[in-house]
Amino acid sequence: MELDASDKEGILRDLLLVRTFEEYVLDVYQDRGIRELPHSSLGQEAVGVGACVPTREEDILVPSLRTRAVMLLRAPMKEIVAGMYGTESGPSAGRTTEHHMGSSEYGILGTTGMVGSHLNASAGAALGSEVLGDDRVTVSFLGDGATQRGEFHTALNFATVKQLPVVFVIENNHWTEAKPIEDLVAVDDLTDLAGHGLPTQIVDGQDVIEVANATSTAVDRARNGDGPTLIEAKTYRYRPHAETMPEERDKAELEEWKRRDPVNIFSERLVDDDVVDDEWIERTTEELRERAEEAFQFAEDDDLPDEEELYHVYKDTDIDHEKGVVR
Amino acid sequence: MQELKLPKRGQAMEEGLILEWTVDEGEQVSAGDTVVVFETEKTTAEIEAEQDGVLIERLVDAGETVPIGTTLGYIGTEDEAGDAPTSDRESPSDDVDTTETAVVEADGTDSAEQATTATTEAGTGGDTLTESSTPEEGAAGDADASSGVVRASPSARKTARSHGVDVDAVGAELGMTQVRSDDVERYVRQERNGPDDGREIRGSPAARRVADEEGIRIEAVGDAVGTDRVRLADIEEYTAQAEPTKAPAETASEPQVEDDHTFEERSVKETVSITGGRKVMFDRMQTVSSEYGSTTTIARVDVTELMDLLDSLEEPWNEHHGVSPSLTAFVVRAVAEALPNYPMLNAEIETPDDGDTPPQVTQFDDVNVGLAVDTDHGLLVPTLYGADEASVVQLCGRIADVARQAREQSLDYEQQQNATFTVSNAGTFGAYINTPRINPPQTGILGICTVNEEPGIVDGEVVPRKFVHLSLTYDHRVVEGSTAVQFLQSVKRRLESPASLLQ
Amino acid sequence: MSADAPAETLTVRESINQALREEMRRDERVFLYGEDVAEYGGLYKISDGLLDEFGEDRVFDTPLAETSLGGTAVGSALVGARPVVEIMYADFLPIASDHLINYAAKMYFNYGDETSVPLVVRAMYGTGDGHGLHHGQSPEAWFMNIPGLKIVMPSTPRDYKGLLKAAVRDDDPVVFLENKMQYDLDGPVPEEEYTVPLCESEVKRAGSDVTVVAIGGMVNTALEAAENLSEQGIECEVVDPRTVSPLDTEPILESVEKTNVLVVAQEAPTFGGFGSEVAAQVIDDAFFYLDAPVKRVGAPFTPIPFAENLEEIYFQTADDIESAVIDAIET
Repeated sequence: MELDASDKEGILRDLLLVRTFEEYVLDVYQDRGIRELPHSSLGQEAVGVGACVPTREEDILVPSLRTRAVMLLRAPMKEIVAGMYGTESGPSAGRTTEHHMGSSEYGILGTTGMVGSHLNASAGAALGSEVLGDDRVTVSFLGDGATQRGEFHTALNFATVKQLPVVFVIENNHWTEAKPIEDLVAVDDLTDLAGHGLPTQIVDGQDVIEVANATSTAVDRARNGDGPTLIEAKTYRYRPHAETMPEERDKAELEEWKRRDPVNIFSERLVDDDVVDDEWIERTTEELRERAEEAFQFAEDDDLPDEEELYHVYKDTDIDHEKGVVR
Repeated sequence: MQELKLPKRGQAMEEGLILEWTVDEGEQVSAGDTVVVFETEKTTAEIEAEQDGVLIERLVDAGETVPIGTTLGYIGTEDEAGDAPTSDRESPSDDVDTTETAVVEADGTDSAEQATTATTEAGTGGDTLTESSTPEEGAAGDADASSGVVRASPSARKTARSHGVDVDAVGAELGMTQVRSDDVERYVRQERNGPDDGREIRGSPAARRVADEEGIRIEAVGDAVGTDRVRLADIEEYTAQAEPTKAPAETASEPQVEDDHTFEERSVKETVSITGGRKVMFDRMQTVSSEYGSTTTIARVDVTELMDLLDSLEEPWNEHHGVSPSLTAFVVRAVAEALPNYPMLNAEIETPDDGDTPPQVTQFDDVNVGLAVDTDHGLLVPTLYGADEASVVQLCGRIADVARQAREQSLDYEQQQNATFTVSNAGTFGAYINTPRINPPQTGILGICTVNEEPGIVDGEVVPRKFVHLSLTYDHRVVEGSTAVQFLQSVKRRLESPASLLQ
Repeated sequence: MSADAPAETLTVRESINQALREEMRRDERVFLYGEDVAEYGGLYKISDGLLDEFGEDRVFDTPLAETSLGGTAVGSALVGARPVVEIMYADFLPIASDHLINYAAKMYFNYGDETSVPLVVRAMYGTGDGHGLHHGQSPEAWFMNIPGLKIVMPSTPRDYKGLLKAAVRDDDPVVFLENKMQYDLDGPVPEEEYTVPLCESEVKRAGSDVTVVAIGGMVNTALEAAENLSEQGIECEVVDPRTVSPLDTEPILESVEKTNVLVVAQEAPTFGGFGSEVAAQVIDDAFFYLDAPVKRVGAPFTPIPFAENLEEIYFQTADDIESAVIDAIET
């Protein structure tokens, strides 16, 4: 895709946004804890950021558990952090966790705690677009864990048979919960799991531009009515699956991947190309950190939700929530 | 060989539930032993061995429900074990006769022994299947106590069930192997501190609400209609049965008095729950009034001499015996002397409710006079054991003691048992004549009323004398009027010759 | 809908077909999909003719994957479409339960901007046709305990049509259960445009002696039992909740206050079933009106058997309801 300097600066800013935020989350969590258990995306920011580059505002994004980039790029940071704290200014007024948030306003499809269950829902979102005759494309993110489920197979098959406007982006960070991917999947490339006749592509997940380009092609394809694409972005996460799950990571492996840190790579490239300078990077990083600090302060000062918020179960029927019957 | 068959007990009975076998196969039995206990809709009953021998075979297990006429098992001699069952039995001839109205003589020969023998004599000649409730007469039944099994009459079992207690627990607690219904009641009263709930009649939620609204007791409905699970239909039946309440009397000609009363509900001063000791009296009186043929006969006794005697004995007795002579003691002594001649009054009655066994009156050799003492916590009746063997002096002492203990609530259980007749001194409250209520299961009670100075006739002259009325209430179901009157006269004579009582 | 309004006689099948047709005409966001619904017209010919009228963009067949059926229904509903997805046999619903229980039921709760999940899942249930273990189970109790789902079980053609139309228009996820043994049952259906409201119980037959609450196919069975009992002088009031959850208890409570006796009937096994919840609600709110133990009629606690005689034993009939009524009254 065609990206000018301004576009690239914007992309770096987005990378820094996700990076600083995730680092701040980790700091706060380690310092004083956060009600929502962080599932950090440190190390794989380029996939989320890159894949969102070619999307339009009205396109539907379906994050995986770890795709914080989607939230940060679409929703106000204060609302996100309030969501992590379970307070009333969060996306669901404290009813549910932030990492499963859904919002028609922001174009984020709500998800559930079942890894991979959003895949058919993503195909469904694409199906809905078709039926409604709008132009929207659905970009669905999934981790390597989700490819191990039957959902992966049925969703891809359905989307391909029906030629639905959906792009599936695998964030293969080489670790499924506490196990390395090699132990759990019989093939090396996850795209090999998808023998559904849909176009697949493997990209370097550390290279944000490569991700953006591949997604751009896929999005165009979808918008043209040519059906779904499966992109596998090879990347790496520095942190455990969840902050409470310690892991024994091979230090050497970690160091090797850190040498190809996606934020650093792109920063260096833009500095080299004179798009930005170090000072810009420092300043931007500082601004973003301050924003994060503000957002966390906001959330920590925010009120807990009114009891009324709990009784938000049916849109069209008023019930007695104690007895579970019609009022 | 005795074939044990499930008998038809009641018109509607079609089947029975075998509750328990009290004997194992191969175990020895004696004639008269209960062998199997069964239950029908209306009652629980037992089948007894009619012969000595062995329970050869049990064909039906406890817990099984079988139609009437089903062969349950066989009793035979050890030789017969293994033989084929015999044919049908002969029809019963009812020769059991324990009615004590037979021979009751004023001089006291009693047929108590006859009665006892008759009920336990079974199996030799007649083929009567004594599936009745055995009135556990002391001697005969206890011989089987060695097995440790508590035998209970069907009515006792029923009572136990309704109270939710176990007859074995009752027997163990009271140290008895033959438990009767009132033993169960006694046990329950002992065990419970709170109110005695009596039978458990339950009402459906709707029924209880309606009963509440109409001021009806569910228990009353259950009793009247004959169910322990009261439903709305039962309440309807009950209210239809009840007599219509009289319309309030309309005074046609009312005095023209200023009447500014409005028809208001009566304001309640206090609502008292009849519990504890009060409930005991309540229950007892309920029993007495519904079951007894209570009749009262009254004697007017000239106690002028007796009162003089009491006066003269006051000082010496206090000095020598540490007691004050009392009218009550003299009366008790007189009663105790007379009672042996009227054994029907020194007795207890039991009416088994199986419908077959006749009522049993147990006449006692001992004369234990219960003395009704009124205390703050209700009426207590301590027993003066062997009153016929105690002198008046001794009785004075004992009476003072038990009266004190009663008021102090320090009477123990044994002191309130085994009375054979009761004396009550209502005169202390000022009753001129009263009609005391019998203390069940006794057959008589004597009330002493106030001593009054009244005109009497001596040698044709009207002179002041002292009189006291003695009221004898007796159970006319079993005590003849003549017996009662004669007894009372006998007491009167003794009191009118008080010196004789000092022997 | 007045009683005088002109009515035609339709079968349940025709009623459902009409409902789908009318709603798809009314709202172009509504679409129907599932296995064999399009060309084949549905296994029981319920969707016959709909492909012809609406084309394959709105009536289409899918791969055999209940997970996809469930998941895509949620996803498409969340973005504003109004899917009617057919899961064929209710016995297959468990395959899609993750999407029904964890997704569909919970998204309104999860979103903060009033986005909801206006989907309808249609599935067939009903024993009696020798289909054995997995082609006849009644699933209402499996999902009753999930806040956020609506479960609808109509009994008459009029209710089927009216409730399905209402379900499509409802913004919450609805599981719409169709008794396949009664597709041919016919009855009066208004000719004019109408809907039957969800979450409203209806007294199908008035009576003063016993309240019989029945659901789905058992409503007709209960009415049959009521006729038989009437000859014995026992008048049953048959209450049809129509919506299993959220349940409209008021007519049921009013009925029990009148009759003092409650019997509940469902096709599914008694234990842990719909009847148990109704009993509990009544015992809570109408306790002092109960004059008899609450009796529940349902299948024995076994899977659905195949042999003809065993299936007969399994299947609850008017006799079973009558026995339960007599039991309750005579206890």
